[in-house]
Amino acid sequence: VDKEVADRSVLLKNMLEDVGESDKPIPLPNVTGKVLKKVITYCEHHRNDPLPQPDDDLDDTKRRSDDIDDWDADFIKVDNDQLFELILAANYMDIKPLLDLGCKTVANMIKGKTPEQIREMFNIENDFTPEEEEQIRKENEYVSLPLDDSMMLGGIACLLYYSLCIANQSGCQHYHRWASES
Amino acid sequence: MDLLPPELQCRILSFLHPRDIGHVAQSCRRLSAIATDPSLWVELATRGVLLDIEEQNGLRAEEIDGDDGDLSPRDSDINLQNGKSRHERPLPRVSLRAPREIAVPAFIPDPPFNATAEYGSKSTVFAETLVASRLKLSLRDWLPHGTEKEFFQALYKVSTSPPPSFDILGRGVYQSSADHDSQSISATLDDHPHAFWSSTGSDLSHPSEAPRETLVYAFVGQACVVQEITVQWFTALFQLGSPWYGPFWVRFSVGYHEDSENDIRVHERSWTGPGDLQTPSTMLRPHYVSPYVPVRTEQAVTIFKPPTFVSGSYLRIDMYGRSGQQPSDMKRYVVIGRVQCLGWTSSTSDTGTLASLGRSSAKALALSANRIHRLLADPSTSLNQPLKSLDPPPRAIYSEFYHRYEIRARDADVVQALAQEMRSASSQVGVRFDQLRSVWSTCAGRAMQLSSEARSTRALPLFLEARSRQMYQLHQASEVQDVFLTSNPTAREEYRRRRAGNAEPSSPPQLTPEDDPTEYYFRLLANSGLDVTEKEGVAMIELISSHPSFSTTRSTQLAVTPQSARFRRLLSENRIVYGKELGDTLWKVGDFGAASTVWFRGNVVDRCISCFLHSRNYSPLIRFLQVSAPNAQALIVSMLERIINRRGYEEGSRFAIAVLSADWSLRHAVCQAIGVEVRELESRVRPPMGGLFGLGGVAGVGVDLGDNAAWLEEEGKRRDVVEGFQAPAPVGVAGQRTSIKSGDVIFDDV
Repeated sequence: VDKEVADRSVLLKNMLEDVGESDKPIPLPNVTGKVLKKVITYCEHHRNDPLPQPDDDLDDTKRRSDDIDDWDADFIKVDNDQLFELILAANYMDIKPLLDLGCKTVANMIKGKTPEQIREMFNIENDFTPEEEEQIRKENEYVSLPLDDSMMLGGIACLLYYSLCIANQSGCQHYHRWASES
Repeated sequence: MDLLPPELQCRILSFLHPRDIGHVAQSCRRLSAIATDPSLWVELATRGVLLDIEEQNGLRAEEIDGDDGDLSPRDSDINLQNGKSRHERPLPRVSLRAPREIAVPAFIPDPPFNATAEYGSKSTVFAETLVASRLKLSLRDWLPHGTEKEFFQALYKVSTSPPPSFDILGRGVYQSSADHDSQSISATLDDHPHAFWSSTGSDLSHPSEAPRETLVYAFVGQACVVQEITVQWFTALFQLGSPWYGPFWVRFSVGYHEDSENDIRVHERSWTGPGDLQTPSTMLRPHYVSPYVPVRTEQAVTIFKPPTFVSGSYLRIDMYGRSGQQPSDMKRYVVIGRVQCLGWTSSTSDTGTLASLGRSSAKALALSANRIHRLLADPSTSLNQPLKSLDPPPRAIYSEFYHRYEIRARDADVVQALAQEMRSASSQVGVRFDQLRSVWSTCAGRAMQLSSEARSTRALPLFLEARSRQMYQLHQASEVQDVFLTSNPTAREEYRRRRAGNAEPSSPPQLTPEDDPTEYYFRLLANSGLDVTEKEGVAMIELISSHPSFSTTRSTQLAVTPQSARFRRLLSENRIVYGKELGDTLWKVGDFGAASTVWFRGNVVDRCISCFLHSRNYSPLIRFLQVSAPNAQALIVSMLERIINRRGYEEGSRFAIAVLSADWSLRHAVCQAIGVEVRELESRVRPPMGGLFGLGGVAGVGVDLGDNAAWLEEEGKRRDVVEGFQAPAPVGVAGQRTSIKSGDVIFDDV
């Protein structure tokens, strides 16, 4: 595998740096061959993408589950088990874009489903007692209300509410600049 | 999914909407534990925000800009598998940073309907959310530990149906200085017009060097959402020149006290002093700090609305610089009349507090009406979202058939909300809504049983609005005829002919007292024995003066109508809170006597002086100046010069006599002003009791100096002749002897 491709994985990159340039194979005990092949396909396709920066997490726009491009969407069309293995491998090998892709795909699968559908999809056993289930349902009551648009926005209100305003701080700087100029 | 380690499951959930997380939580125990993990919610708060909003915008958009291939095919597959024919619309990219693309929709109703109270409706929340969502946000580490999810859920409920906002300031906990015990921070929570907080005075070469002043208030709840902060800067009407004591800048911070994270209420802990405030990381951590808000000179009120949702357990106000200078000691102060912070408490454990504050929640109705009004009216806050999705659609107002029906429904909404509030506030139940008229009259009956504070903040705008609504309907009824006429050519011609022949245009229809909501209001108010606030007084006068009979019988007295008679009675019973504004309104409508009464009782120094000058009562004027103005002498002299310039020597000499009888030490200045030698004056007029003390001491006794006046006028005339001016005709002859009524002061004759 090319070094450029291997560099996609932070784990491999670090290992290669530690080991130095050599032809020795690097053991990856937690990844099966089939999944590794998938991972390599992904890395080869994305070999020219810019490497993700560590502080990319802070970028809000990265956090949407629907910005998956066509190739990726096609790539990730696998069955559930393989999908989770891919996520695990991506996590282990520290390939952030692939991890995000996997997570987003799962998130897209969950989106808009009822609890029963989610159980069905992932073969989850309902281990709640009826009382517990009622309790949980009540706790999460706000989600089972009829979701008209303004209510969903209300939910956003609550998210927003937790946030402080960067724009405001920059406004303050502008003000200072203005004050010092005038 | 069970294969994945918790952190990865958490990561997956962080891509989801809270609604979906709830569903996941209901599927099994392990996922339920993960779904309630605090780190997930913090993550959501930091990152999920814009995703959700864009998704929302996308789903609400009417047009689809073509498939941009964003959707994963798998997603659609699953939808099909589940037998859902629902087409997942591709989400168009909606830029949140360009919020002003959509102008105010054309169907904003005309006044007076745009002030319709959308009390408690979702559209209020919706609109606010949109406004708040314009700004890109980030999160700081400030959540109280361990309670993120509960907090979030409580807030979600709160924001979907916000409780009525009220004044959430619990009490003042810290003041950096106070001039006097009675002028402490607690006075800023008092509605009385003469209650204020004042800093200690500072004499500095430059006013901006003044020390920063800080006030800290604890909110009523442990976590309150701040919507609007109002600070009324104080104008000392009782001081000469009505100095305004505002700062140059003000800054607001809101945050949680460290102790509030340990469940200790803010107002129960002790505050050690400024050290507390200057080390925010240890004692007070402001989670939101506003920019410096400049305060214009003479600005009465600073209203600050946080650009985003801000919550906390305390409010801190920092004031920088000070411009007001007190005439008596020439020191600079900063003074606040009233501080209000509207919002609501969000913590579920605070519902008790909320209930006990039913009194304050009375403000909510008026406020929410104003809010929606502002949102609709101000193009700069036009919404990112088409308003047609608001509920109920305001558009309905314009439909011909439903017109009246719609209005009535809205009225009923308002009144219902009002009734609910009243129920919680004072257990007043049983408002019936059969027809509009009975609605507001019942309302009036209920409103009067509320506390006076609730009355002043809420009821009046409501009734004024109800009145304008009645007027509008009346006008409409008269216009219906016009419409009918204009559709029929013959009738139209006839109508025009009649209108043309009628020299006097028909007067606009007037409400009968029985149909006038405000009439009810004021009648009940007058009978209730409560004091009339200044605002109510102003509204009263404005309504009286808007009556057509007022303009025809206009004189120095208010027209004699039942309304004005009622106002006079209130005035004579001393049941009106006097203030500058009330006097000004009276002056404007031409009732000078009542205006001066109001100014004097309200101790509005500047207006009082104007009154004295206007009515030419010089002796009391000078007495008044000596009492209230520290630099009275200089002021009197400049006033004398002005009077001579503007009103001539006759008036000037009258004034000079009043001055001399009040303050003999001013003789040099007076002589200079009228152009007489001091020696000459002294040789003619001699104060027997020794200089300034004697004359100044008896200033109040009403000295009759008529003869002396004549003498001075003669002097003035002589000078005028010499200088070639036209002097006013002298009255009387030069005095042989000046008679003094009081007998205390003797003026020798020449």
